[in-house]
Amino acid sequence: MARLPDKSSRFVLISVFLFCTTFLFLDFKFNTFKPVQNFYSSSSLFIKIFSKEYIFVPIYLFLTSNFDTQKVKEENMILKAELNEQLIINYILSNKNIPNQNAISEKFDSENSSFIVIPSRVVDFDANLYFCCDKHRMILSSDNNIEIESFKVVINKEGIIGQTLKLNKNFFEVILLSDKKHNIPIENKNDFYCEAKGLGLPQKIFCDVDLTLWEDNFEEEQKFFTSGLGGIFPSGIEIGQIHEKQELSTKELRLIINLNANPLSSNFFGVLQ
Amino acid sequence: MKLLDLIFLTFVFMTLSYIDSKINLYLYNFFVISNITYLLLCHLCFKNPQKINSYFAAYIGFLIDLNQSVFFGLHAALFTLSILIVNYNYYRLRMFSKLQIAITFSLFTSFYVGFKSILLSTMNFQYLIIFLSFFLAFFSYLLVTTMVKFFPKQLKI
Repeated sequence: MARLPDKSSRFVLISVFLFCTTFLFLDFKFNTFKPVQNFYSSSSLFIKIFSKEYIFVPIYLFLTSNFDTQKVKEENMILKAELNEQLIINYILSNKNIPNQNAISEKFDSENSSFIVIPSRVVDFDANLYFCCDKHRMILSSDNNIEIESFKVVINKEGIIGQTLKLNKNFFEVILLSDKKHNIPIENKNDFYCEAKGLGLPQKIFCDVDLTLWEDNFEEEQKFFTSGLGGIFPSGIEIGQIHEKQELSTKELRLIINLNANPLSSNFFGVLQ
Repeated sequence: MKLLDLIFLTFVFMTLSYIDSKINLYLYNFFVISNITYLLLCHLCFKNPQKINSYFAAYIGFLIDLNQSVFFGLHAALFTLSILIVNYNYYRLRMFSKLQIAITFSLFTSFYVGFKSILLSTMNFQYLIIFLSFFLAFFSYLLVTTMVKFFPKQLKI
């Protein structure tokens, strides 16, 4: 048996490895440490925002301005905040190009609309994870400090981007449509229904078609819409187009759908309540 | 390990992990992944296995897992496994030339990237990333060995 340079025994080396592997297995299989990770990410976000607002910004203001200019800057900041608020409202409510084919905006415009849009903005988004891995998440905070519950639809100017998962009072997580764990019921104009899953690639979802039940009348660029089944997403909103058809077997076909809404296109979002 | 050493090494590893994630943002388009953090761990373990032991690897791994919000224990398990392999083959590795060491650690990195991809990017696993990451790891290792020379001498690594 090989001699070890480390004073610690083989038992320690192997047991530490097994200990870590157990943690990995528990988290992978049962999401056991999800609360720990949520606590860590919300605490680090709190520290980040707190230090920015109460430490760095005051120090910056103190160093860069005298009394008069500070006053002007404060006024400027208030105006900027107001402008941002207006921008969010413009993005989500006033802009006629909001979600695709104005399906959602038409619903907003109608007086009997049951939707209320809560403007929100990005607090944290790991673009690295978005491009490399299956986990496509984003952390937002609502502008009016309204508590956002789980399973609410999140939109941006291009359409639906995902749904909320409550983190705590101030922040909420958005699971994007392309996340591997996300499912969305969709349909096309030929009355084909399926539950599309996130592919784990940016702006891509997929739908497996059982050819014993459905005819293969799918074409590239064919549009898909939300079916409204499940009760979370409103129906009839364009989600994307077929990007690719993959034959899994003679009886099974996989449709790769390219999503219309790009979550990186803007920092401002709306949550449908 | 002294507390100051631990704080310094934690800072170095967390900074490198941050740099890695920022670089990777641009490298994904070229099917390459930068792994300076992992290479540094391998190199330090090879230089001083008493100091960079499995406890330290688990500690750094868990911190990176929390920070990157990936599966808790992913980096910790892979780091401790690497420490285990380096320790078991320590005297064999000591006989290698610098070039061979660089190739060996680059191979380790390829396996590391592979395991990570299997768990984090199951549906989009690509062998090309593993293959190309090997070459980047080779050049990154040269950078890591140079970087370690600038560590304070009090650290005794």
